[in-house]
Amino acid sequence: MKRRTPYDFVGITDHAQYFGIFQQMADPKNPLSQSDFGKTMAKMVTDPTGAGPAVSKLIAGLAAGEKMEEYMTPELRISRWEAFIAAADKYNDPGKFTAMYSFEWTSQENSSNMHRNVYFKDKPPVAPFSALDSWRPEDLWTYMEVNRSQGIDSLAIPHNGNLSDGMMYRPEMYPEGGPMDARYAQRQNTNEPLTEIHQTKGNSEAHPWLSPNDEFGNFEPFANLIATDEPAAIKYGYVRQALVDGMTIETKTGYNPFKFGIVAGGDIHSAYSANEEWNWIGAHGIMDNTPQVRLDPKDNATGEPGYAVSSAGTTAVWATENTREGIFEGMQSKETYGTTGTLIRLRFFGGWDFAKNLVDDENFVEKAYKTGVPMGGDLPKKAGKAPTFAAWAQKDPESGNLDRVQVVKGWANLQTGFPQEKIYDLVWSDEDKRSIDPTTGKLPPVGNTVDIKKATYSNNSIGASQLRAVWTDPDFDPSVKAVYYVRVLEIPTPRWSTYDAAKLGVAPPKGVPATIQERAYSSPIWYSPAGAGVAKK
Amino acid sequence: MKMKMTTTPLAVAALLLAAAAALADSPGEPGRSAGGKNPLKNVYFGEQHLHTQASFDAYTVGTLAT
Repeated sequence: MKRRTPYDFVGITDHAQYFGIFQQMADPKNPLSQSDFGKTMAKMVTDPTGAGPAVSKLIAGLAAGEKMEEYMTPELRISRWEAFIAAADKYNDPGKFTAMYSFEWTSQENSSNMHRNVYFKDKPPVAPFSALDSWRPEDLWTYMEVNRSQGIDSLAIPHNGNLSDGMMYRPEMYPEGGPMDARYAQRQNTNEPLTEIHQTKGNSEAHPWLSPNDEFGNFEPFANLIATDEPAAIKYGYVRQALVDGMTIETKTGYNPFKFGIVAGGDIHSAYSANEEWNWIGAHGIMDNTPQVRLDPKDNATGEPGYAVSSAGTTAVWATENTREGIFEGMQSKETYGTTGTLIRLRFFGGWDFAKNLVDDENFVEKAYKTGVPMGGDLPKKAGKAPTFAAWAQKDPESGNLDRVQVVKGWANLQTGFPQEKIYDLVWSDEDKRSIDPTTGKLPPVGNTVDIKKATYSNNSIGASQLRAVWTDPDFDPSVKAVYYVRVLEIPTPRWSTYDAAKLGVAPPKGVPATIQERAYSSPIWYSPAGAGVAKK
Repeated sequence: MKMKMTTTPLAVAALLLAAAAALADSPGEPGRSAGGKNPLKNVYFGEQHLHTQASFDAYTVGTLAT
């Protein structure tokens, strides 16, 4: 199996708990393979079932927060981390391919995924910080701040809000609760500039219960907490709501803890990033590595059938160069977007006086940077009647054509604080055949060319290869904070499970759609009546 | 059921790198292959979230060294 389109960078984000320890047990020459636990764990190589008792002990211990101190010595932690650093350095090739220094901090008290990926700029820390050290985000931030004071810069990326049981974007301090104070909000704002909107264990953009008028808002949902039959709480688990609630907290405290740029990822545990729908090989090692087992309705690694998982999402970073510094700076300034695995190219700028034809100008990008701000930025101080936005999207040559470009606008009701939202269709394909219905305000669907039995589709009859527009907010209220982000949809293409079914000559599994509309989400652009640089971040 | 697949962080990076021909420039994205810094920025695509056998739960689902 080989990717059709190579990636430009990677961050390997292994869990910091017992980082790199168990592979050592599989090496008979390594002293760690000599203990009873090590010997049992080593059986994963030849007899996975035989390793069961050790795996159960490990998982139960992690759930209970019990430490196996013998595998957490400074020597082990530093040496395994140094092995990772050496590997990253070996394959880091400035200008061509970037391998970042990164790890995952995996806090999951009460099955609430409060996980963060931690990324370093150009210098690695001495060792990673694990949820066994502390499962409180504030302690992770302290670790990051101490490192930063020594010139080791980093950022953390919360992910899987959908499976946090309503904890990830709760507008309160975690875990004790209570309104966020300025210090907590400021520390989250500084340390966590990004969040992950899509991955194999579901999409965290929006939920139909929160966004009933968004006909595209029920994409690749993942309902239950990992390895349970417990539905995750919906409120405070999704990014769109968090973007609005963050502005409300900013009004109260001076800092927006949820001022997130957008990224996406895989969270695949098979050491391969399968974002290409037609190249799906499973997400959980030997648990789901064949089409047969993936289409089996029995529960798989996540506690759901294998077909419940989505293919990997992709992170796109706008950067001046493909180096650790370049990628990190792009991430830190939130000039990023996340996709559901497709490599759509997406530009998004906001300003006060963009010309209607700006996106047709051959110097579009230069002029947009000069007179506006890119995705992830704050609109400059109000200098016009209403903000203007320029969006430009180009399809992934290996994937479906583009259906439409939308802007999602969010703001809070000033009396109740409730999040409000409106979705605008900016520009769409097949304009001669469809237009916005004046009664519903909706653009009709683009159509569907997928042959489900064969798992094929056509780019010949519907969709566009490029869509671009300049848009002015028609409902602008200068007294209300607002957040704007772009969502680009592709025409329907086969879901990975449909490719698998076609390979086996069987019907696609029930319970997941046979076709999906892949998409890209830009980082937002924020408006504040006080203007950028006047209000605190 | 034994899985044969790419496993170490090194191998992952190598796999990704193996096909790493530069993507073509697209409109609005000048300079990707020009070399040097591009003040108008290029878009770089990547994997932000990936586990190898160094993760306890990847090891225990059989993502192993070959």
